[in-house]
Amino acid sequence: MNDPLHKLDAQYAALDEPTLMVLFKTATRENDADALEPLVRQLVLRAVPVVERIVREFGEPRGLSPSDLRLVEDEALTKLVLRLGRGLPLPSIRVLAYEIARGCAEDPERLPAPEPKAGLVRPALRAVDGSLSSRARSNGHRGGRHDG
Amino acid sequence: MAEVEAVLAEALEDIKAGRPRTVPDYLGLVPRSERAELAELLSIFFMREAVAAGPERVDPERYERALGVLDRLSATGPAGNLPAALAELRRTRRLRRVDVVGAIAERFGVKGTGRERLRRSYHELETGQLSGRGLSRRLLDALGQILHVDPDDLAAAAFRTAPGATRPARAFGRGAGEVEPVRGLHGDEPPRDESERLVDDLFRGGADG
Repeated sequence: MNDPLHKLDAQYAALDEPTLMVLFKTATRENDADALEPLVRQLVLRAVPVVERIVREFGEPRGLSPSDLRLVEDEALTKLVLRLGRGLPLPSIRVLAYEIARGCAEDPERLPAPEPKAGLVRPALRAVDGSLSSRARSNGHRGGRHDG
Repeated sequence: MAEVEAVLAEALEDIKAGRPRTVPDYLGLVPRSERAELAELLSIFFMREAVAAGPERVDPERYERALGVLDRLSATGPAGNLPAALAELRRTRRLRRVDVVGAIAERFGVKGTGRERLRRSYHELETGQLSGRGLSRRLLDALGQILHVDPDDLAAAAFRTAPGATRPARAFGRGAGEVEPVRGLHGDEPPRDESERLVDDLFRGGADG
C-alpha cells in the first residue's frame, strides 16, 4: 500500500491550531497544493472532537444508533475535507466543523437505520428458570457430565 | 437554555466575521446559572481557550476512522478526488450505486438504452476513469442534491490538481497508476439515440453539457 502521509504531516502535527490556521491561509493564498494537502489533514484531525461531540449531541436525540452516528461522523469529515480542499478563507476550523457536523446530524432525510429483519436477529436463548435444571436432574444428567 | 443558544449563535457569527470578542464578554450576556454551560460550549470554538484546556478526550478509534476517511479521500485521478468522495458519501448514506444511478435517471428522464449507458458512465466516474473536465455542471448539481453535499465542493474536488504525495484512484481490476485521463470505456461508441446523447452530455460534455 502506498504511504498516504506527506513529509509535512509530522511537522504540522506538532503545531498549535492558531499556527495551522495561519499556514492554511498562506497556502490557500499562494495556491500551494503540496502544503495544502497535509494542512487539510491536520485541520480535519483537530476537528474530530468537535465533530464527534456535535454529531452525538444532535444525532442521539433523533434516535440515531451508534452505527448511524459513526456514518454521520464519517459524512461530516468527508464534507469537511471537501470544503477545506476548496481553499476558501477559513476563520475557524471549529466553527466550520460545528456547522457541517450539525447539518449532517440534523439532516431530516437521514432516518435511523431500520431494525434488522426478524430472520437476521440472533435469538437470545436461555433456559427457563429452574425447569431445565430440574428436568435434567430427573434424567440423571449433572451439569454436562456424562455418568454413564 | 434559549439564552445560551442565542449567545452561542452570536459568538459563532462573530468568529465567522473575524471579529470575535473574548469568552468573558459572552459569558456576561447570560445568567450566572448558565455560564458554566456556555463556557463549555464556547471552549470548543475558541482556539486559545481550547489550547489552554488541553486536548479533549476522544476515543482513539475515532481518530483511526478519521484517518481512514482521509486515506480514502487522498486518492486522486483525472477527476481529482471526486470519485473517492462520491464513494465515501454514498457509503455514509447507505446508498448503492444503483440508487444513485436511479436518482440521476429520474432527475434527467433517462430511459431505454440510455439507462445502461448511464449505469456504465457512473461506474466509470466513481472508479476514476472519467476526466473531471468532462463533467457537466448540471450533473454535479444533481449529485450534490442526491448526496446532500454542496455541488461547488464536488466541482472543486473534480478539478483539484494532484500534489506529488497523493496516490492514484483505485479502479476496479486495474493496478494503481494505470489509470489515465480517458474518455471512458464507452466514450468512443457514438450515442445511438437521444437518451444516450443526454448521458454523454452529462458525463463528457463539459461544464455546459
